[in-house]
Amino acid sequence: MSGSTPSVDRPRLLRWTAFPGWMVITGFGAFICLALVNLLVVAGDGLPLDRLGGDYTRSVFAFTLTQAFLSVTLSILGALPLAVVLHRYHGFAGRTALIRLLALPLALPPLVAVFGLLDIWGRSGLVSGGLEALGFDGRIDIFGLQGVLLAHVFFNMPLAARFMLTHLERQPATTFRLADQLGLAGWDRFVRLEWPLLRAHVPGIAGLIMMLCIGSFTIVLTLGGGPSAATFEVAIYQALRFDFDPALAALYTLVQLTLAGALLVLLSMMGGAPQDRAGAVTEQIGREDRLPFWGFAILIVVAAFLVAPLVALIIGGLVADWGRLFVMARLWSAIGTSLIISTAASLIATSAAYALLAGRARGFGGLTLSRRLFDAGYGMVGSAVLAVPPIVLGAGWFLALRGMPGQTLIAGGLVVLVNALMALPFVLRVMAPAFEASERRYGALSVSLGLEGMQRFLRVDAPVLVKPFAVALAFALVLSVGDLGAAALFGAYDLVTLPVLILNLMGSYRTDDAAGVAFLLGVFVFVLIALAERTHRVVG
Amino acid sequence: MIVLNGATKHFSDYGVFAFDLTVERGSSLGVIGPSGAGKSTLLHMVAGFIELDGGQIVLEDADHTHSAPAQRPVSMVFQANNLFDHLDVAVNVGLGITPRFRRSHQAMGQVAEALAQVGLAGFEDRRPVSLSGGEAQRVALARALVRDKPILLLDEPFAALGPSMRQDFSSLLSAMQKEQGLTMLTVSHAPTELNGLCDRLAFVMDGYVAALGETASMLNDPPHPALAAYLGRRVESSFDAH
Repeated sequence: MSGSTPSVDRPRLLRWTAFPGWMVITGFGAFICLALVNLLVVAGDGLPLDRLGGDYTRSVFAFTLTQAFLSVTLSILGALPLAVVLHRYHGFAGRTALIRLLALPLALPPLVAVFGLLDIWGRSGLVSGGLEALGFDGRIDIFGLQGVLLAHVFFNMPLAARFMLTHLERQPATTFRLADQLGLAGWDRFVRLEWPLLRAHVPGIAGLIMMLCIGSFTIVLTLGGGPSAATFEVAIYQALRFDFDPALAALYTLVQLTLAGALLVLLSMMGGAPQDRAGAVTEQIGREDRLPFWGFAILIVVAAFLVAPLVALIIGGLVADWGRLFVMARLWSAIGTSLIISTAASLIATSAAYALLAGRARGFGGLTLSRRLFDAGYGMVGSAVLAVPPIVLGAGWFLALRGMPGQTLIAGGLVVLVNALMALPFVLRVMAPAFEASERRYGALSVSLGLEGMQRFLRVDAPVLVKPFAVALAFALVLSVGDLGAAALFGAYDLVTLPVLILNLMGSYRTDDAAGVAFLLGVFVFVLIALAERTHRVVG
Repeated sequence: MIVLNGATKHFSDYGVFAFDLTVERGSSLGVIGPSGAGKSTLLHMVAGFIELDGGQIVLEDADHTHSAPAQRPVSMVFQANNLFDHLDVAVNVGLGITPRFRRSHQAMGQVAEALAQVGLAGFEDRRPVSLSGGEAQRVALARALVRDKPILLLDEPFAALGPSMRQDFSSLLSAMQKEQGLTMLTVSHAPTELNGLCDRLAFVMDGYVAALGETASMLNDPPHPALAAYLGRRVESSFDAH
């Protein structure tokens, strides 16, 4: 029990500090529950259960699972050699840049990435052109399962590689020095050391990617190529926006909830979501061999796979007709709407995260029932979006909004809340370590000096945590501004954000204009990520 | 005055800690004992960082068993992390006057006076990162002075200091304690450091006060075999007696 910084087990008079956290839990909890209740009310009108056995539902079910399974397999298979190369070889130029590049797709709005992928892999893309120049017949058709897989691998293979690299970097350096001493190299090193270390974590990584792919909306909507290639999320959207069939949307929502819920339970049984701290360890862990040819080849292929769509995106944006775009009133309106929604959503997410963290750290004494309830609520709102995807939340509230006055304003508010909830897990992941470190360092001192409430916030939390809070705010902005899920549904209420505008332009075959707007959105996101990354590095 | 009447805390990892102890007003008590014995737990009970499962804590004749740390008549100097790094020395000290501290003429006068008392006159604008370990501890002591509480709690106050700084800081503490008439409770893992600073020592083991007495007699003639063993003294056993 000795030590300089005691844990503050003393909150009898400080329990009110948990009050804002309780408000967040009950507020977001009610928001989720009301959406689900509304779906059940609609379902009560007559759930078309007979449609469950229909051809379309079966094809949606098959496609949802098939694309998710294949995406997971390809992502894991691609990530394994990449993580091994990045872990084994520290000295080559550009290693840090490549690890940072692996984080980029995570923040890139899917709709923006789609344009880059189309430019490389589409019928008129670079690869098709190259194959034709080499004398091969026929052009690549990206639309369909292959396009969905390509995009999912583009997003998830880097994610899986970062998780694996993090796990390898967390092993004691002596493990790898011992391997050096024993002469374990090449394939033997992989079979005897690296794979056994990674094997236990692959199911967790696969589970998370499976979950992301089953909940895939934007990519399947844009690259699926038609009703035969739809996930349940897309099917919900189509049922509401095009078929005007709320009962069917409710049925598919319940199926999606069951699927996502079952996967979330499985994921938690496998030890929860893996950690991503790739590149955090810079210590020389073993002898430094020269990068072999096969390693060099892997790095080149991965870098090309990730960079080429980004370069294409930039080129596509630069050649857009900016003169026409800048006089387009819808563009300015969409920029304004996107900024208002994403700013409000990210401020709510960051404030909610602060209330939750402060409540958890300062609001309770021992392991009381109220603390357990708070912790459960914290976990619930912190990961709700994994079990209840934005499109499902949106669907519940979309149906509730029918026939109400002032729909555009209400729809805007709902999209803000859905986006805030969507950003909350990421915001918590950024803010929690910094908050807990500050709490360990200054918690007892602050309490002993009577720094509470606003005084604690102004004197300690705000100045100490301003950088991690800014990083969290930037990540929330990036997620919110690029979201299509909820906004696409509420586009029916004249609520047009930048992603919705891009979708509308694509729908009316104004692909060049859509590429220009996507470029604009991409630049905004890149600037935010660069600022956040820079601040994150300073924060450590 | 500090009185612990059966102050009890149950820890799932450490077992039950229960203390009965009285520290007279204006006296200085040192708490020694092996790691995990409950020294810091005792201190944190008095400071209010640990909520009791049973028993009572009386400070300056008032029951403070359930009062918040800031409401107790105590100031505390921690082993480390005593200062907010993002605030200058003046504000770090001034927060001892009130959490709503402003740089008024009167408040800054109080701060300057306290800093002068600990030998750091003119340090108001310095940042904690520019201070040595000893200077940082002195700033924490200056803050304790402006808090003007009758009880001073010190948690391993010398642990982060070099040998010469330890002597200086110990002399400063001793002079302040006598000058201000403070009731002082000091936890240390190095008993000899408390010689000259504390009138009495309490030896804590397994979550209770096992021995209590004058500092000199506790160190020179340990009344408890566990204390003798802790101090590295040879314990006379029945075998030796034969």
